[in-house]
Amino acid sequence: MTTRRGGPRSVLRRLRLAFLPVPSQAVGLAVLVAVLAAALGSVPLMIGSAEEGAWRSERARHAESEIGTTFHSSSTPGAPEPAASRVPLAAELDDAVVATATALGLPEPLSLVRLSDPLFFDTPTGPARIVHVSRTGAEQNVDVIAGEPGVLAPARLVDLIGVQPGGTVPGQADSGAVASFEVTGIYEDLAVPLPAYWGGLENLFIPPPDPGTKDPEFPTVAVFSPRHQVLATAVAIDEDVELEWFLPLPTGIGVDEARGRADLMERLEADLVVPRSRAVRITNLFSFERPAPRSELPDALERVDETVALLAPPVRAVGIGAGAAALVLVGAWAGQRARRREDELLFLLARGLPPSRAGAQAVREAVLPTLAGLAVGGVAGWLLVRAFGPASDLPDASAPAALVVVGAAGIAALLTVGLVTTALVARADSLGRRPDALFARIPWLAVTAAVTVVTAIPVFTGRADGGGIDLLQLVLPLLVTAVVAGAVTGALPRLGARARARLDRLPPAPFLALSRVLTGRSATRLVVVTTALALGLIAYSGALADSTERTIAAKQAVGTGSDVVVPLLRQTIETGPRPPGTTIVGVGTRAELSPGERVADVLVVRPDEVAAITRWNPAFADQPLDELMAALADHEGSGVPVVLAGTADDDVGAELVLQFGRVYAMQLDVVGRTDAFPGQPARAPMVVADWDSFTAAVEGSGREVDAVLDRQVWARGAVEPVLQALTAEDYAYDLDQVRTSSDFAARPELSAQSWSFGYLRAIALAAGLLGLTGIAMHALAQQRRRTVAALLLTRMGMGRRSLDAAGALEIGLLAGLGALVAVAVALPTSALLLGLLDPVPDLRPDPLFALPWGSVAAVVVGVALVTAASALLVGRSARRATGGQVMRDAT
Amino acid sequence: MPHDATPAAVCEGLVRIYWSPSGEVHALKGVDAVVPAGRLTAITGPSGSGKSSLLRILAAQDRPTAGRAEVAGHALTGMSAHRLRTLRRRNIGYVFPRPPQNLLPHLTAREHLAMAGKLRGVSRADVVRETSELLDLLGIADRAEHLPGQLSGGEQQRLAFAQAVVGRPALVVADEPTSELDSRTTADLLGAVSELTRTGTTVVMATHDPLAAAAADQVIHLRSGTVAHEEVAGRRLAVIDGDGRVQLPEEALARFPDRRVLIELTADGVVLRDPS
Repeated sequence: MTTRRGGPRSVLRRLRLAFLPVPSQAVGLAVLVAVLAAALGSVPLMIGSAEEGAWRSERARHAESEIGTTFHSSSTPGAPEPAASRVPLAAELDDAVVATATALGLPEPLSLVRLSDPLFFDTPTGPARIVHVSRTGAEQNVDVIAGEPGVLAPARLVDLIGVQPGGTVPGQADSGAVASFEVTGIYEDLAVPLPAYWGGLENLFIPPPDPGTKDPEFPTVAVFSPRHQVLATAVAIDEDVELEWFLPLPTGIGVDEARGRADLMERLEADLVVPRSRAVRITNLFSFERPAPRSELPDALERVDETVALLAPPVRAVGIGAGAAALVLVGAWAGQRARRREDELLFLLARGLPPSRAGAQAVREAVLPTLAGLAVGGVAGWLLVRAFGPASDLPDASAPAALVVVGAAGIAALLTVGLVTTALVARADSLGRRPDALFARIPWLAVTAAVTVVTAIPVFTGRADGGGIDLLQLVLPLLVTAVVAGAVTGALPRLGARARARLDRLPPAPFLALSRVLTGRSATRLVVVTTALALGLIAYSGALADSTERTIAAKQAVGTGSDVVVPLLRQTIETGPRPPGTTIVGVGTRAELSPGERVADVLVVRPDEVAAITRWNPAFADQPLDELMAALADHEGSGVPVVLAGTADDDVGAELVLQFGRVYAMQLDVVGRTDAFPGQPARAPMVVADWDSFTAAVEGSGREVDAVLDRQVWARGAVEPVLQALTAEDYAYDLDQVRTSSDFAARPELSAQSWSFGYLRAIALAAGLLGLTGIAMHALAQQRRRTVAALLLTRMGMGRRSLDAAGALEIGLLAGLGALVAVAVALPTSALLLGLLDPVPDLRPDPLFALPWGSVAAVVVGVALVTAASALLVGRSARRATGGQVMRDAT
Repeated sequence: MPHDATPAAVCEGLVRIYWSPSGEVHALKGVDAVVPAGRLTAITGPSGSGKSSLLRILAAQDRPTAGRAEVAGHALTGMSAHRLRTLRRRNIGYVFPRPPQNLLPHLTAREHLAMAGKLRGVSRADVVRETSELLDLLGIADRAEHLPGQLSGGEQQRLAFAQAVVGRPALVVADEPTSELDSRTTADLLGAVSELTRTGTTVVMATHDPLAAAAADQVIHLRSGTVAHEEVAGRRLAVIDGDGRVQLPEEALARFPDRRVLIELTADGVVLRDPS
């Protein structure tokens, strides 16, 4: 074959020679750069994904009425002018607010105007209350079952006083003034849960508790009228009015839009107080309250920011660590390239070209594979974060940030290639250079061990702060792994010397493999150390992720007691039968436990119910929950039987005294101990008492149980059915106080740690794959170096299969040794470090270790696969080379 | 082309010491040699005699530890690495022993010469002209568009010489260029090198090959880091260094077992006698 000069093909050929002279080498660089780009590019993507995920979690946790924004105002009661003269201006204020909102590009707010106080009217069963209200679009969101829209009364009012369309409803204000309005239609009573439109207006349909007595107020009816009629009624009875403007948050919006909406709300709030505006004129001159916003949106965004702030450092540490490792590998690739093309580089040196020229040439040849790697890695990182990250959609800023980082990664890769090549060529070019005796004599193992100890000191003297993993905690296990792997491989030659006699009795293949491994050459050390590091990262990250998951589950059980916790309003008695699947517990705080005078919390449970309701974790105690509850229920001593939680290791006697201030004290008989117990609010000890014994002891001394205990309903399952059932049984509760286990899990510190460990696990998996690929590459390189030896062994009578088996066994032994060191170091190290990674240190139990069986299995399978794949590749490569070629190349 | 009287390279009292973990290695112990311009000079000697060390200094790839080395009129002593590179680029061509070390597998013969000219800073037109002349002179004109893999070993080494000569360097240094060639190919290559020297190119090569040594205009034979003797025009000459030291041939040395000698100056020359 000859090449032709000129023409487009020649140009293409020249371009290929300039930029891609050795495609097989370029593939290796492209893979490494892809890993580099994926690792570094995924950092901003992961942070963005976490931001979006945290936002979606917050959005899901809040009702639409809470996350939307409600501006509130009223004609101020007690103003100098009579209400009748001020109230008509409410219409103008309403219009001004709506106009200001729409001027900012916001949708028209849902306006609500109501009388400040309800009107009373008589029913056959006693007085009842009417809330007279207008709301934008109300008539379209009720089912009118009789008459026409206009003044709409509920069907309940028909039941109470028999009013029909065309009839008149009389109402009397607190002042005694009387107003009446003609009903034009009847709407069907709304059922709980209310449609989304009525979110936040539950008090129109579900009576709120009385602020003083906390007792619910019954019955109340809502009559919907046009705004002017509500205002006319207010004027008629000289009553003030309240105004609300609700701006719902659009559904499905991302965190960027949410931030934009929050900014718009701030602007709206600012615009509503601009001097000489219509709204300000009315509020200033006519004693209306300035419209003030009420929304959970800022708090939700603050929690999002908190999550990101907690997650970003560990994610950055992991990503940058992975990027640095990938850059080291890129440097190793450059070194390998220089070695494989040593002839070419020496040739250039002999011609007087400077080393920088060789570096520049290496950079030029690295451009295309780097670009390809950046593209593949960037896209892979983006797809993986979208698929496995906290959210599939990313904030707008994530992609540009990732692009910048990926671009920087590409520049770093090219610089690394150029610098390493230049340095190696300069080294070859340096004249009269003394050998690197000093470098070779450095006791690397001892130095690494010393660095490990120095790193360990700040790590183990630190305290859990609820944050994520930091750089030192990430690096320490790797250093320990490197030291142990180095020590093990350093001991191999001594082991080999002792086992020499036994080795001689082995068949050729195992003899050859074991001899090579036990020689412990530098290549062996390198393979074992790098394998141990790569696989150790998998085991370490797996142990941390699994342990964190277990710890969070345990803390979740402790933090919320059960799936749903509904604090009942004080003075509420158990009016009806408890809904199935629920239990009522009593909760007391700041009691004093003697002897020892320690502050303790109190939880009073029904032993026969609580076991089925709460989430028990076996790590809480040595005994099962059933046994502990049976001990509570079956106790026959004189004191109140209790289980002490949080004092398992303390020297606390079996008979204690519990004091509630100076008011009341009771004798306790300790029947069991646990490290933690569901519902335990803090690290302080908690006394878990039997309901019957506790209440009997309190009542026996003439005291009220409700004076020392608050009651909570604990239930399994979703929150809505529980609340519906409680409402149906006339239990009173404050919606704001209801807690769920998912609320607990959505805490920023838990989300941040869970997500950051998931990210670490993904990066570790990539590192593991890269490490195993490196072993396969090492096997191939060894095969190339050993072609002559292999040929001679074949000619001496050793079978091809035996040679293949020896190669496979050698790789298997090296990888297996690396995996063994990895697992043996990673598990105890992660168990030790776990205590410093407690996401909620204020809550029991301490972090729980979980064996990462999945990660260990992945390591074992990976080692088996790489052994088989390496054996196949090496065998195939060996069969390709002919004897003559091998000997010629060896000269 | 007439031979230039100015030598291409001169070495006086050349010493080269390497450091190794086991101690110092004295590779050259005071070598005096002159490489005449426009001639083929062969450096011979057993392994470890210092051939490669001398060759590296002549190729400006190394500096002497002591003594004076002058290549193409430039003294190497004290020269910076940068200036050494410049000297190599402008004045020295180099040929490695194995063909793969000299050639890039993806470039054709013509592209090799073009690249060599470009690296040496020769104008494009001159490179085209020289390429044509050199390929013709070395007998590989019909292989101009072939890749190295399509050339025989001899053709590859001829191509290596051709690219070393592009830009007319003052000195072409070749390290055992015939070591991987059979005798016939070696003869062809040496013929081609002779053609080059006839055009004024100075070639110095290290070799073990008697054929190559025989083809040289001058042979410098090294032994234990010193010049044992030189052969010029079939005559074997001992070398006297600047301090008057002479290295006797082995057969002459054998006559002086006590390592002591009486020197008599006569009208015909200098006579060495055993004192006993």
